[in-house]
Amino acid sequence: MVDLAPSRGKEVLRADGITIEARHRRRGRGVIARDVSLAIHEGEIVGLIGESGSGKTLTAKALLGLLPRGVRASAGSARLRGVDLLSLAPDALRRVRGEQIALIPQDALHALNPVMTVGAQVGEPFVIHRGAKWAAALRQAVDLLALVQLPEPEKRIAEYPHQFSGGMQQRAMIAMGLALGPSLIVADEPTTALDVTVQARILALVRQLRDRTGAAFLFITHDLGIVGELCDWVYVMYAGQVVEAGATRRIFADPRHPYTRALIAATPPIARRADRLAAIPGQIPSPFEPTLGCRFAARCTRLFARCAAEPPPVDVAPGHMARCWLAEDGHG
Amino acid sequence: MVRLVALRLAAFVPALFIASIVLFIAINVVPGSAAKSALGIDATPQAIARFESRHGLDRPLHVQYLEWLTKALTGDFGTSFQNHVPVGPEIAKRLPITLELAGLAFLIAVLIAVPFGAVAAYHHQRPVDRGITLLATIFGALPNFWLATILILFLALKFRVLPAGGYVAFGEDPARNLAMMIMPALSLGVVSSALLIRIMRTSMLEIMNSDFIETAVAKGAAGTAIVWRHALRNALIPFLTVAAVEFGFLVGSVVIIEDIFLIPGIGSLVLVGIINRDYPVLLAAALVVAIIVLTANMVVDLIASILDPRQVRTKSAGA
Amino acid sequence: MSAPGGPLPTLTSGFTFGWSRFGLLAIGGAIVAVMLAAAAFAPVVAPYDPYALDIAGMLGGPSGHHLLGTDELGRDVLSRTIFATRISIEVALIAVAIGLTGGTLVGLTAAYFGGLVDMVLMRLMEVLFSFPAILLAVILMASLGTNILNAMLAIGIIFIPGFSRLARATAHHVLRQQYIDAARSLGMGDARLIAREILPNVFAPLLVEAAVAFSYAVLLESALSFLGLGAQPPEPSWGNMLNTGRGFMEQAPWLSIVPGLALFLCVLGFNLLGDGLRDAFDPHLKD
Repeated sequence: MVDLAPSRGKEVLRADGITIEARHRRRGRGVIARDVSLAIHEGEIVGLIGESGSGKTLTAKALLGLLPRGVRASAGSARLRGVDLLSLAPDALRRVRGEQIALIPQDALHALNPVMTVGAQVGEPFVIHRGAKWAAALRQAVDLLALVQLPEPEKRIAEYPHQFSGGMQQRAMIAMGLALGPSLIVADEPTTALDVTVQARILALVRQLRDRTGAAFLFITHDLGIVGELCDWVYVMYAGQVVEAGATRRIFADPRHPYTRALIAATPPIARRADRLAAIPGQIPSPFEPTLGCRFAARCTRLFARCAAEPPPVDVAPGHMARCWLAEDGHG
Repeated sequence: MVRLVALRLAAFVPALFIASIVLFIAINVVPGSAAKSALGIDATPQAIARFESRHGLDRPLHVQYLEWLTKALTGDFGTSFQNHVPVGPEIAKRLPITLELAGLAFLIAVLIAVPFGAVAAYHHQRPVDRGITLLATIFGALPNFWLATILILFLALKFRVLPAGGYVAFGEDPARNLAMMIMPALSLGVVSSALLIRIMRTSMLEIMNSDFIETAVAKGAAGTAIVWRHALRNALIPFLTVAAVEFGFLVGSVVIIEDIFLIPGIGSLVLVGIINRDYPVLLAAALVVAIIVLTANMVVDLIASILDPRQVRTKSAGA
Repeated sequence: MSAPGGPLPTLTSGFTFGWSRFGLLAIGGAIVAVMLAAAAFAPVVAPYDPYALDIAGMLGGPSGHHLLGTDELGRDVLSRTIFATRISIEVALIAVAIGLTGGTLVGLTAAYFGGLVDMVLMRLMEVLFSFPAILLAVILMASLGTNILNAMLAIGIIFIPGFSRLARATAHHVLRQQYIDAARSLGMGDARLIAREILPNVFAPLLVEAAVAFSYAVLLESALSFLGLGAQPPEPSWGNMLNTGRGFMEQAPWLSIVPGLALFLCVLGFNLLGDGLRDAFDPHLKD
């Protein structure tokens, strides 16, 4: 029997019951994420997949304390090697950022300071956290740029972001994230803005880096194909909740939540990646509109009476969770 | 780089021409006044006619302008109607004085605006921000000549800390020169700083909301590092372009301030030209002011372009 | 359990329109109202005739009889300050009117003819606009002659470039609308349709620009009078009061403080009003 749930190494991140709330001037209070739990282990690439509005990006940002004004994590914990990120004081959080947990944002061009050389930006973490002098930091930057396979890194460090292509910019961002060897790297849709061939190379790079450095990745995406290709484990988010979670191969082979099934069914075969998430009729509910019962009910084809009450997370098998009254059925 | 300078120069020259034409027309709008001023109110029509023909004031305007222009291009700005002294050398003597005043005032304005604007942006919508914005509003409503008067009243008359007016060359006595320049420079600089504070604040706010600031935060950079290394240089670029425009207004205001503080610069020369209806003097002085304004615009624009590497460098190869 | 981010400002865009903005707008409005009232009702409000001499009582400090003292000819400073409001407001009104009319003409012409005419006119406006206003004003006064009427004209001329930009932009907007509406309507409702389209679009920026221009006009008039190029004594203007005050700074400092303070408050009032209006009309705030 194929082992669909590979054994996992030491735990790096355990997030329990994270709830994120937002207050908007006109729309009032909204719940961006509810009772989100994640586990990431050493050397894993964990995918967090969902459509826009699912709360995946803000959940990831909450881990770094990067929630915007008006949005806060109101409940839950996120223990990174035992330390709860959500209850850290500002100073402690600052020390953890870059050192233990790093972010690779979506839009690399705008995430880079246009008036600072790439080398300075990639080497900056050493100046911030290790008290390095700039000369030493730049030398580190050369090594890092080589690690992400940028040609002629010694020349690259003196250049500015606008002189790089999209792929090169993203590699620079990855180098920046890897700089201090953090335990967890959060990648927020790093390939979305790139064209398909470049995407493929970046994904290959991520896998190589994981193999070489043993870092853990939290890979946020809306592309099921990427999940299939890259991620060991996946968390499927819908309307602020994790609706299914487990090893990637297992989820693909035996999806238990109607949303996951719909996603898989609507997506072209894994070998060909889609540009956008396949269309499922209906709309994701707004965080500011409270719904009773299952949040997916409005778009679910298997709706029945019990769905009026919110389904609890069910362990379908060890390491495989689904949030649906019909999870244990096993019928597709 | 050369292209940038060339582009700016290309815009500068026609603007200067237009400015000279505008000034020429503005001054000559009402015929006859120059003669009356030079000769006195009871001058006879014949005396006026003689004066005008001698100075070529009875010819059509465009002829006068062309003659003035050709002479001016060779550096000959004519002679004063009043005392028949050549205008050029007088301007050359006074120019550095006005430049020093304008420069000091601009420096004060920028030195106030950059930190205040940055601090206000950093503490967006908290009391510090509201306070600074209110301060900027108050500064902006201050009439510079009233501020000058108040400064003289308190610093020169009441507390006798600074001299009330006059000028001493920097080369002669730097300390006294600065003591005499500080109040006029403050009068101009403080009022100018008002707009600049707001611009800096807006610029910083926009920058602070950029993605790359989030990246810096995600790296664990401290607040000060973020402001100094990442935000400021980006914010200064749009700030400087507006500052250039403000410099123009500042230079225009030297007319009043030099008068109050008895500073022998181009501004007071303009006033002398006006009171005496001394057209060659007035035209030359006003044109020099226009040149200073346009040049300053061009220079600051250039600096802003240089600070922005996107303007100077081109893309490299790679994927 | 919150996500601390230090003192760094929000990472979202979006403006919050605090109550304090309304507060400032109210203060500005109040000041403007007081100024307008002072100007309109000066003869009623002022305790003395602004031209009434009293040489014996000259350069008297603030007292029970003269709340703000007397000037070098014994005239009551408070009364003169109040009457000076009238001059400032008058000049500002007419100057803004001239600027508005002239600017509209230029802007409409540029927009209507387009092409070379547009380019030449707008270039000219640009140069005029970047000219330091005080310098231009002073020069114009030199050739026009130094009195209040010419001050109104000179300041008005200075405002033309600013208003011309607004007029041109509006005209462009209208011209575009006309083609769309002409296609839709039956021709009769055109004028009303356009009125319904232009007015909301032009009213707001016009009001803001006018308020700002007003404050600038008051400032310019005072500057000109200060230099002796505007209102001539014995007419009371804040500017020329400050000018004569200059000669008596030691003996009678109130002569240098009071008119300037009035001027400052007037400019501040209109600035606050203009700022407040701009924020009130800002589309971003209708979030």
